[in-house]
Amino acid sequence: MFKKKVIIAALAATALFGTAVTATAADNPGLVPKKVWNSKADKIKVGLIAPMTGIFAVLGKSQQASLQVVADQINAAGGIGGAKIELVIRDGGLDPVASANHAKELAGDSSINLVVGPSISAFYQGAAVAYEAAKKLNCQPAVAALDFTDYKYGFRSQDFYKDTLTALMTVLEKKKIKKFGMIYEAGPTGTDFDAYFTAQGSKYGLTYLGWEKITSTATSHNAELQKLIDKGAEAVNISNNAYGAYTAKAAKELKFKGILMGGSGAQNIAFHETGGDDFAGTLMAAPNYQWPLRSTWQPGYKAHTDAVVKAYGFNTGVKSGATSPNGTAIAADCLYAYAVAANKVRSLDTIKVRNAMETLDIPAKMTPSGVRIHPGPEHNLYQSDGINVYEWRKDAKGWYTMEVNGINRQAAACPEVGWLAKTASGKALVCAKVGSKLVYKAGN
Amino acid sequence: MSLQIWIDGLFAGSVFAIIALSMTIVYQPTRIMNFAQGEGFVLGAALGYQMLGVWKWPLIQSVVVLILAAILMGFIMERMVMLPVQLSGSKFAWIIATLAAAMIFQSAFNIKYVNVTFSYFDIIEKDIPIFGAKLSIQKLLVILLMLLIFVINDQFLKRTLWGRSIRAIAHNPDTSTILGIPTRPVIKLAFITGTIVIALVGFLATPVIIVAPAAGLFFTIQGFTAAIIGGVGSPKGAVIGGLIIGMLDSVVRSWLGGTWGLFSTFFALAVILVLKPNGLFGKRVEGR
Repeated sequence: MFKKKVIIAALAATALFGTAVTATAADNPGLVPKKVWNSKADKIKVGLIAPMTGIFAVLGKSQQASLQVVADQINAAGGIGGAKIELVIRDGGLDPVASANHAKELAGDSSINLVVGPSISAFYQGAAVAYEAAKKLNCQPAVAALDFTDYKYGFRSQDFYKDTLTALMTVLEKKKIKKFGMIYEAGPTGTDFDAYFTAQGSKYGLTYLGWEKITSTATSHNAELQKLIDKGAEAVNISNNAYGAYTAKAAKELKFKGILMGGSGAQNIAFHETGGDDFAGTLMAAPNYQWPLRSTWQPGYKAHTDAVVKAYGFNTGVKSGATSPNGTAIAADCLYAYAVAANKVRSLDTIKVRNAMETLDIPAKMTPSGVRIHPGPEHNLYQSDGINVYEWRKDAKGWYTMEVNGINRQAAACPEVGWLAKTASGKALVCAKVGSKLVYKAGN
Repeated sequence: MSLQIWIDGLFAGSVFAIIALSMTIVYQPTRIMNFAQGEGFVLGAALGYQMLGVWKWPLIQSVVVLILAAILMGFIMERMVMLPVQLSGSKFAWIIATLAAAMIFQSAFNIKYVNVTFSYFDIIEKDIPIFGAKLSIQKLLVILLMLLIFVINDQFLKRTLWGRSIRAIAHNPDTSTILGIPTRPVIKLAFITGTIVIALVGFLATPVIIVAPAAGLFFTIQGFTAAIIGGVGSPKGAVIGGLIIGMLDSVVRSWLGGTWGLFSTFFALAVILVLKPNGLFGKRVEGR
């Protein structure tokens, strides 16, 4: 009897220790999670609710492409526990009611294991109620606002807006900008941004000049930008969606000398098309976006992006020559993280997979997005250390980006005097000329 | 308020005026407000993108192909709208028929152009300085096109046999038919002409404004609003209505803020409909 108790205690201790280890050690799933267990299921259904038609179809189509690429890769490697992934697509358009209804349908479908979408924070608010009630695991690659600690079953695979805006304001401070404003759609996201800028701006030595609201019906943002210029704006935060391209065009038309800045939406080549060469200098805060970087891509990002381009191609702006792949790697991260979590606990049970997703810690070099995934209790796949600020530039070879803050790592190259970077331990660096060479020196 | 705001409003107003004019051209002989009309705008944008932007074709060749494509689209649209109307006999069939046509064309553009926002270079990359503001040649071309189409349409209606036929059908379609006026060819001509007109403005305006493959319905609504303000069926009303909503939106957004632009447009619509239920230049029309 005593011997049996000792064995049980030893097993329990091993299990406990093992759990602790997996909770803290980095996960190592490889670029494609392989079959490591048998789920005894034939298929795993993954829902996608996104605008597949209408003016934001670009978003839905990109999400679908990236999800399909990951699904095909995992299926080719044996599936998740042997189960093959199948996408179930629902077109939510730009309709919050349709999106919420699709969310209800997929949340109530027991054969659906994971739902991606609906995009847009306001739409997700409605859908989340259904997901939480049905205990449906879901992942959101286009929801910047909202606090995901409020959701037990929801994860975000986008930069949290507070991290994005903080990163941008940090760069503005270093560039010695004093006054800035915002041109953004009227709505909950703009409201959150406005409140955050209002509350936090002064901490970075910035005077926030306020929010010029826009609607999707305007054919010019000259009026809004002119008002901010008249107030002395040196920088303007622009909308993340394609309508923000009107602000880029306004900057060109009004010869705005200040800085435009935005979130990951500023990777849309519509901005380069409308803003022309004047779009150079625009700041973009985003989870890793290596496509326009002139440096080596992370292996996971390269594997994913190469596969997307091979299957779906890339777009080229006819005016600007700027390019972008027809996929969005942050959507791919949803499925990738789900597969890794399911493999980790060797189960498709929602609660077990959810708990495993919370404790994931996957290095940046492996993930499709090239960003470290470690959601934690905040349920944000990317934490603030995953947000970079890039500056758009153009030269004879075309458009490219430079990292402005180099949050994660010391920049490999020291491109010009005054360039800012950080060491891996977070110490600030500044690029300086020593003799004929450019080298990094300790910064402020 | 800077002069630039008024110039921007004049440009936007001219775009909406041409759209309203093209809807009026179709409305006169059919008494149908074609909700698929904005798809012609997207056709102009898409072909401009394809021919000027991607294939780098010469301008004249592109315009010729654009007009041929618009003729084809107008012909197809006439069949998609008029056939259900004629077959059903319901006086409301045009609503669903035009919306269905809009959805079909929109889907076709979405299938062909994934992840694309149409854009290409201005035909002439030059600005004209005006007291500190500037007017690009591209915007000027759209404003001139609006005036040109208005004058040509006016003279066509007054001075040609086909034009007088359209006016006769607009006045009384049944009597026109009894008098031997070829109603169906006139209606076909109206659809084709209306599509050519709106495709041309889509072609010229796209280097200035953002046009997505699914944006047709937006332009239809703007043109529809302009036509209602000016008076349904009145070419003069279409132009004035378009200019009112373009200028009002630009000036009010600059004065009160972005979200007030749309409000002011529809507030103006409401006020005008209360004071002049048939619009500024419209005449009372008996329903069919």
